[in-house]
Amino acid sequence: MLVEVKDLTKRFGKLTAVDGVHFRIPAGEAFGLLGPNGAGKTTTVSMMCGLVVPSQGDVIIDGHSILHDPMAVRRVIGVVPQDVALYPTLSARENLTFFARMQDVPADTLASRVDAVLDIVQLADRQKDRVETYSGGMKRRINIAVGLLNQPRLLILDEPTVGVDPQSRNSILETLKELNRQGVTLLYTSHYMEEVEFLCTHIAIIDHGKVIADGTQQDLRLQAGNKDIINVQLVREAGDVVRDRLAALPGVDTVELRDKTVRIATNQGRSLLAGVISTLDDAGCPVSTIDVKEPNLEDLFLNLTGTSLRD
Amino acid sequence: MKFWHIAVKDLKVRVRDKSAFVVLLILPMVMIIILGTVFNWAGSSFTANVTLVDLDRGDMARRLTQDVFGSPQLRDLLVVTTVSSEAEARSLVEQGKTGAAVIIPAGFSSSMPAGTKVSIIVLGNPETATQAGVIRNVVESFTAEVQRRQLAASIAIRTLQESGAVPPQRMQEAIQSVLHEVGISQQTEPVSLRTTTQEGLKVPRALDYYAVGMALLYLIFTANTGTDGMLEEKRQHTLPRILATPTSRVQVLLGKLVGIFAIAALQFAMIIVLTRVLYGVNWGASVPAVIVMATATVLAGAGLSTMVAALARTPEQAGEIGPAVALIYSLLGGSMWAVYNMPAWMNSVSRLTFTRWSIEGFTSLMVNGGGVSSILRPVGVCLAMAAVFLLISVTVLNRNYQ
Repeated sequence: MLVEVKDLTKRFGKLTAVDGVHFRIPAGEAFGLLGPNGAGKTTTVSMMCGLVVPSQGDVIIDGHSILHDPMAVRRVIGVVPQDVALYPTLSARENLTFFARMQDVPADTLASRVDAVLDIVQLADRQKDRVETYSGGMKRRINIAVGLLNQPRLLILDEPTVGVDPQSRNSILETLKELNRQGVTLLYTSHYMEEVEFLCTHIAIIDHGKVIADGTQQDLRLQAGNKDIINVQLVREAGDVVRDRLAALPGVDTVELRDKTVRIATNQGRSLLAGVISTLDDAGCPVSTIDVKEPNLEDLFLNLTGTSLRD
Repeated sequence: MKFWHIAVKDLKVRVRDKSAFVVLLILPMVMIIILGTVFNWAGSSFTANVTLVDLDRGDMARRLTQDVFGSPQLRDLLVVTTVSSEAEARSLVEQGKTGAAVIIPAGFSSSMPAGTKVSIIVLGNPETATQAGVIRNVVESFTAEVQRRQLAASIAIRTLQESGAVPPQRMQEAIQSVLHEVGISQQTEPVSLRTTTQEGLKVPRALDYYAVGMALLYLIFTANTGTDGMLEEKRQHTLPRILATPTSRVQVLLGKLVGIFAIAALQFAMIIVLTRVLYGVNWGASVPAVIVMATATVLAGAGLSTMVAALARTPEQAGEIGPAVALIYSLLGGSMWAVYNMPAWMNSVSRLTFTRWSIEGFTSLMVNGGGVSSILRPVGVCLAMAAVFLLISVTVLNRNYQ
C-alpha cells in the first residue's frame, strides 16, 4: 500500500476540520477525494504534505510517517496546490528550475527534468515567457508541472482545475489520466463530480471532515441506488390511467405522476424510451420533453447528506 | 545551499519589479540630494548663536569676549551678539532667538588675582541644548585655563615667599611680576573648540550624522519591502509550496534574510559612496571598520524585517506592523534627530534599537577614526539583535504551521 491515512484528525480550537479520516491508496491508483467546499479536503491534503500537524492520527506514505519523517515523505510526493503557486515575474523555466532545486532534483539531471515536465504540459515553446503573461489554463499547467519535477511516487492535486476554462480543464484531466496510465499514483481532490468520475477509479466522499462513503465508482453507484430515472414533461395533464399503463411496461419499477410531469424509475434506462413515448401517445398525452438521468455520485451525496455537492 | 537559491530567486524577483527597484535604489539618492540641499549640507557645518552680556568690563572679561569668542578659530562657528543686560539675554534665550547666553558677572576680572570664586553663567533652553552645550564647553575651556594659571601663580608666589630668594622689600614687586606673567602680560592662548555634548561625548558634523541617519532610515524602509516580499510569498501561495518540499523552515528564513541583506547592503553601500563623493561625508578612516559596521547593521535590519514578516499573518497586519516598527526605530534610533538631543529617558530606551547602536558605531568611526576594534561593542549588539530576530522568526513560523 503506497498511502495509508489513519484516523487523521485536525482541530482548530473548537472546530474539528478533519475528523478521523481513514483511507488507503495502492500504488498506481487514481484516488479521488470528493466533497463540497469546506468539507476538509485541503486540510487533509495539507496534513499529508506535512504543512499542517495533525491533532490525531498519522499518514504513512511509501513507508514513511509524516509525523516522524516528514522530509522523507516530501521527497516522494509532488504537490499541486489549489491556487496557482508560481512567481509571476519569473519565466516558466525559472520557476521550474527553482522548485526543482527545492525538490532536491540532482544538478546533473535538473535541466532534463525541467524539459521533460515542460513537454508533459505542452508548454516547452513558452518556457522563456514570464508566467504573468500566461493564460489561466497555462498557469494551471505549469502549476501541475512543478508537482512532477521530482518524479513523485504520489502526486497530490488539490482542486487543480478551479477557475479553468472547459478546454484547459479537459487538457489537464487528459494529462493526468496519461500520467496515471504511466504509473503515477494520484490523489485528486475536487468538488466537481464529473472530474472525479472521469479520472478516479477509487473515490472517498468527504463531508464536514468525515469520510461518508468510500469505494470504487461501481460500489458507490450501487450505494446510490441503481435505478435510471426517466423524466417526462407532457403537453397536457395526464390521469391515473396513463400512470397505470406506464407502470405496466416491462422493466418499469415505479411511476410518479404530478400535473404534467412523469418520473419513471427503471433499470433499463434509454432502452425503455421508445415504449414510454409510444404509450403516452396512445393515451392521448403527447410528450413535450423527455430525458434519462443515470445514477451518479451527486445522487449518492444527496442521499447521504441531503445537500448538493455544490451547496 | 537551498537558502542561497531562495536568495537568488528573491533578487531576481526584486530586480524585475521595476517600480520597487526605483523606490529602493533611486529614491534614496533623490531624497539625500533634496535633504542635502535643505540642510545645506554641502560645505557648511555646525554653527551656534551666542549672546554675550559683559557686566564686568574688566580685562579678563575682555579676553573672553574678544580674544576667545572673537578668535579666528571660532569666528565661522559662532554668531556672536552682545546685549547690555542679563534680563535681555534671558528673554532672548527663552524665546529661542539665541542658542545660549553667556553672562560675565561684575567683579569677574578683579576676582582673579584675589583668587575668589566668581561664576560665569551660561543660559540655554532644551530646544537649543546642542548649541548651549558647545558654548558652555567654550566657556569651561576658558575658565579652566584661567584656573590653571591661577594655580600656577599661587604655587609660584608661595615658593618665592618660602624660599627667601627674594628680599622682603622686593616681594610685592615679584608677586606682581608673576601675576602679570600668568594672567596679564601673556596672551591667553586661543581656546580651541571641541564640539562636545554635555556628557562630553564627541559628535560629528551635522552633515555626517544625518548621512548615517538617512542610510539607517532607508535600511529600515528597504527591510520593510523585504517584509512585503515574504508576505507576497504567502499571498501567492509559494511559501507553503516551498515548505511542502524537502526544505526546512530555517533554510527558507535564511534565504529570505540573505535576499533582504543583499538588497539592503547594496543600498547602504550606494549611500555611503555617494554621500562621500557628493558631500564629502567622513565615514571614518578605516574602510574595513565601515564595512563591518554596515554589515552588522544591515544584518540586524534584515533580521527585523524577517521577524515582522513572520509575525504578520496577513498583508494587512504587515501593513500596520511594518510602518509602526520602522517609525519607532527611526524615531528612537536617532535617524530623525540626533541622539545627543534626546531627553535622558529616550536616550536610554533608544539603546533597545539596533539603529542607535549603529549610529554610535558609525559616529565613533567618524569622530575618532578608529578601526574595527573600536566598534566591537555596537557591532556585537547589532549581530546579537539579528540573531534574536531570526530566532523569533523561526519560532513563529514553526508555530504558524502547527
